[in-house]
Amino acid sequence: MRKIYLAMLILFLTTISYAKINVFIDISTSFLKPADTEYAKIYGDKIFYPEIITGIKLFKDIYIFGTYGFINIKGDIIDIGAEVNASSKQSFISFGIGYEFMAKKKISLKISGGIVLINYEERAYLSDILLDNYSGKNTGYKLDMGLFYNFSNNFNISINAGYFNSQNTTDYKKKLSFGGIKAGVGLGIKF
Amino acid sequence: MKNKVYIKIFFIIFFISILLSGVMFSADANEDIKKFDKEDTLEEIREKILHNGYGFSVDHNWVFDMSKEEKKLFFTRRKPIKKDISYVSKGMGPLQYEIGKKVLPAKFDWRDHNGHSYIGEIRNQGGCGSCYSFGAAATAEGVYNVATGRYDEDCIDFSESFIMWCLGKLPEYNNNFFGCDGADYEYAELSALVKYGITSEIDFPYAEADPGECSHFEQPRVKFKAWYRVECNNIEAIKTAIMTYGVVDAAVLTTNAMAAYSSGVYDDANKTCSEIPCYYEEADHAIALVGWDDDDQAFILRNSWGEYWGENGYMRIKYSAAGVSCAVTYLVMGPSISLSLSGEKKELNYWAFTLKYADLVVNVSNPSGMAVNRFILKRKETNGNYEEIKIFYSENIVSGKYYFTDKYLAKNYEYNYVVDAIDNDGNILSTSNKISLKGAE
Repeated sequence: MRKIYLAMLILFLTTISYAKINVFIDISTSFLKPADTEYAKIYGDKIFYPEIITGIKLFKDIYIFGTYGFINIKGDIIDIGAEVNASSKQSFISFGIGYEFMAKKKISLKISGGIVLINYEERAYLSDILLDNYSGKNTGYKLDMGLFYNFSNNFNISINAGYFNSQNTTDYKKKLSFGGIKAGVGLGIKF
Repeated sequence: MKNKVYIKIFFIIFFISILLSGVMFSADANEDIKKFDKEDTLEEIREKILHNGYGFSVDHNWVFDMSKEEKKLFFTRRKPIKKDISYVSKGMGPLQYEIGKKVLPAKFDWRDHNGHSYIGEIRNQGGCGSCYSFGAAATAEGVYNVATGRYDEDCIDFSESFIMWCLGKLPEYNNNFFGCDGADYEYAELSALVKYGITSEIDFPYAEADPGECSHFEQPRVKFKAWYRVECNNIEAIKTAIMTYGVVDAAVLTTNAMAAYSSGVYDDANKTCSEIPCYYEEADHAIALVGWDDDDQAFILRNSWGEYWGENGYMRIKYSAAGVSCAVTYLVMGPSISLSLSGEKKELNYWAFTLKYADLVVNVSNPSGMAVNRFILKRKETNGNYEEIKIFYSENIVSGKYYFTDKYLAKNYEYNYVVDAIDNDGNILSTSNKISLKGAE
């Protein structure tokens, strides 16, 4: 996986250096509605989810992107007969390809898709005593779209929505679903 | 007439001479036995063993290698300030009705009775003169295990420290026994087990130093109904007591040969109980007897010198050697209540977690209708202590079941559960078997 990251970085830097640039960086604050109902019962169905998105335009309307976002949250497992606490640490790294077109002079629309790598560490506690933990990494897919208002040549604000998902099957044959629907607002810079 | 007188005189002289020669012969025979003493070297002991034709081996060990001063503080069983001769008239208690009823097998051993052990691991008193507490606790454990049907890993483990540092501090017993100062011949420690009971080792682990004020009387205790002495040198009675009630408490007069014992059947010349009363025969060390073997003509002696002494902490000792048959006592439990604990580990899968929990069932059988105030379900926590997790209140239960679900079990941790039946005064009437269940792995 490190090789992939390195290749992406080299590609990114090379493109910046030699192409007729169009680099953008967006910072987005989103809320995630988890795809897994049990996960949502523990942590809620609106989970704060910050994300940084960077991309470079390869051609006129086509760009490649990379993103990083994370969740660090605590919750309670209820209705199981005891006060069991839980914590979830997840990070999401994605990359893929997108398309942007100008809807009006200052308004553009971006649509993108790619793969996502999810690292997770899930823990369940009872009075600070570890009951179980589950950790690992999965790959999945990610789809995003955003509506951008370019109030200058270099800055924009956006509203965005998307869906990403990755699934895993536990040792006891239970299917876990990571990710979900996200929606948020962003502030971007491009140069 | 004169001839008849001469013949009479001749026969009288002949008879007296035969009598005298017999006495001389036996005196010679006794003189031929080389007695062990407390300062024998290993070489001297081995030479005496060979000379006397004994069948045991000796070697260095931590007791034998103690200095003379250390041994003086170690072998602390002593004569009482005032003799209590009341036990002479008390007789042997209920044991007297058991003698002759049962066929005594040639071999009997509570460490292996029907494939199970009714006595726990061997213990080590360390450098403390606390043998009396180990003898009493081993006896209490053996009697309790037999009465309640506990064996192997479910054997109870009583607190020697409670005898030493709690019961020994009570004014009524303080002159008889205390801490590392040893005990006298009165077995007041057994009287204390009857009157006050004993806590478990978990509640008060063994301590060689005085931990100060005793705070363990609040904890559940097991009480015994009575204790009795067994007639001196009555081997059949001692065997019957062992087989009927469990492990018995006894005492021996040690020698350096006993300290150095490593294997075989110990024997020495201290075979009589000639004191008055006979149970005041000199003895400086308390032990317990867990069985016998007629092939060896020996009792199986449980010592408190650790598993590396003797035969894994035990000794085979000739029936009357070291005065072992002079001061044997046994404990009796009252009516018992039977508790059995069973459990099943179950799991709940939620999100990414597998949460393990225990479904526990307490089965109570109380045919004698003992007054039970409550049943306390205890769980060994991750810090190693037992904590109460559930109390079931029920008076006058004859039989029944109680259910409890323990949610949830820590990952990679093994929980031990046990149930105590408690009476209105807070005494333990019975303790269940122990079960172990493990959390997620």
